[in-house]
Amino acid sequence: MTTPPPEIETAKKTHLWFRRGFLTRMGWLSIAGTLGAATLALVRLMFPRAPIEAPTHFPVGRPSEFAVGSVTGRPPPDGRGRRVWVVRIKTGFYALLGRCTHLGCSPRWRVAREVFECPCHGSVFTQAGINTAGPAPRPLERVHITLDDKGRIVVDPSRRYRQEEGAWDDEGSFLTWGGDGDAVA
Amino acid sequence: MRWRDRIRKSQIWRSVFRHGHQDTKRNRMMQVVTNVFLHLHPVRVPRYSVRPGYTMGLGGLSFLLFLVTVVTGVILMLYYRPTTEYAYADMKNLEYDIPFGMLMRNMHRWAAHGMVITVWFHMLRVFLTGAYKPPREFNWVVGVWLLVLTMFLSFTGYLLPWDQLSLWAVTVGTNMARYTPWLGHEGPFAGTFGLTEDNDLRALLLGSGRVGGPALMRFYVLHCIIVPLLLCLLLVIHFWRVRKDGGISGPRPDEEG
Repeated sequence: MTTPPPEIETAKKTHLWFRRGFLTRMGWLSIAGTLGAATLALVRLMFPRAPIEAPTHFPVGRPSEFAVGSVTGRPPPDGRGRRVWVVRIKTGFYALLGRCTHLGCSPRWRVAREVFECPCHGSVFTQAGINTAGPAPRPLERVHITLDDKGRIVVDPSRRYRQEEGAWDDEGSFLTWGGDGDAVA
Repeated sequence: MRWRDRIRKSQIWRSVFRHGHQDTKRNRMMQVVTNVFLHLHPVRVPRYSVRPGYTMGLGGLSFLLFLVTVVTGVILMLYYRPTTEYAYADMKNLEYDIPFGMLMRNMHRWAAHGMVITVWFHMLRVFLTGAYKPPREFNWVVGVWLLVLTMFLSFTGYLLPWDQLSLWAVTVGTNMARYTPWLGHEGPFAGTFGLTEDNDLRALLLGSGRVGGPALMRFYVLHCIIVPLLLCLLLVIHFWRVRKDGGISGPRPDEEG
């Protein structure tokens, strides 16, 4: 690089904004700004506005199809995504998401032992979904459960209820239903 | 005149090679410094460093295995399509219907496993011989990043066969990302940036809420393009710094036997 003429050196000392320095700074600033904006855009691009997935709610059957005390696994109709375990107790229904709260494997209902057991690291959950053994740190999550206008039970795994947050008392986390398949409402 | 000499003196030969090669010290040095492919080589090699037991060639073995994965990986890319419809079938197709496909896939897999092992042992050797000490401390840091990228290549490649093992291993692995400090929505300091399940580190890796098509595509691009490019960049720096930091480590010059 050649030595700048003496008047530049003088200008540097006497002026805060001499022309060459200003243009240099603006040049670097525009490069940094462009790269910064591009980086932000790239980060945003990584997160789609709408999830690249099918709608998450699906019907699992009529209330009369489930015997009291039964635990029934129902996968989403397209076979993609988590199985939902529909549990029928005397007072109604709740649905547990088949996703282990440890690292996301798929617990199965063991009929003989009456527990959910995860095949990956051996976490155990009761019928209610409470963790009792293994590395799982919290209970299974309930998913939204309701009746549609055709009288079918519909679950929506995108809406979840956590026991440790007290959400199992929330509306939608439980479907009140009378004795042996008879409609109460 | 022998054929060799006749060829060497022909106009065609001389138009290509211009002049002969004289095996002098200066020429050997020039050979290295003027050749882009050789210029990572040291001009001179200290005696202790060619003793096989000193480095056990672990860095070189790691690089060799990396080259094997690159070559076989590019060949596998000719038949593999990273979509949920085709990935598993293409993998099986490579194994059973494509001549040498099984060989390429197995070479890729075993070279990858081997690379993880040799990189770890390389790190151990560097530690035990004190080669991380100044002036080589920066190259140690570059090496640690190379180790991280090696592991990440293994992790991203693991999903691509799209079988049960892949799916659940990556389900577990990406669920761990939920607990990343700051960047995971369930980890320590999770609230700092207000991240949710839809925009934390796990969502970035998967591109959706679970291990599905978008995750397969992201892992494929990471595995075949982004991570290898980063790795190559760091490899160049790593090799260059070995030379610039005075060659591989050894006894101080005054102690050299």
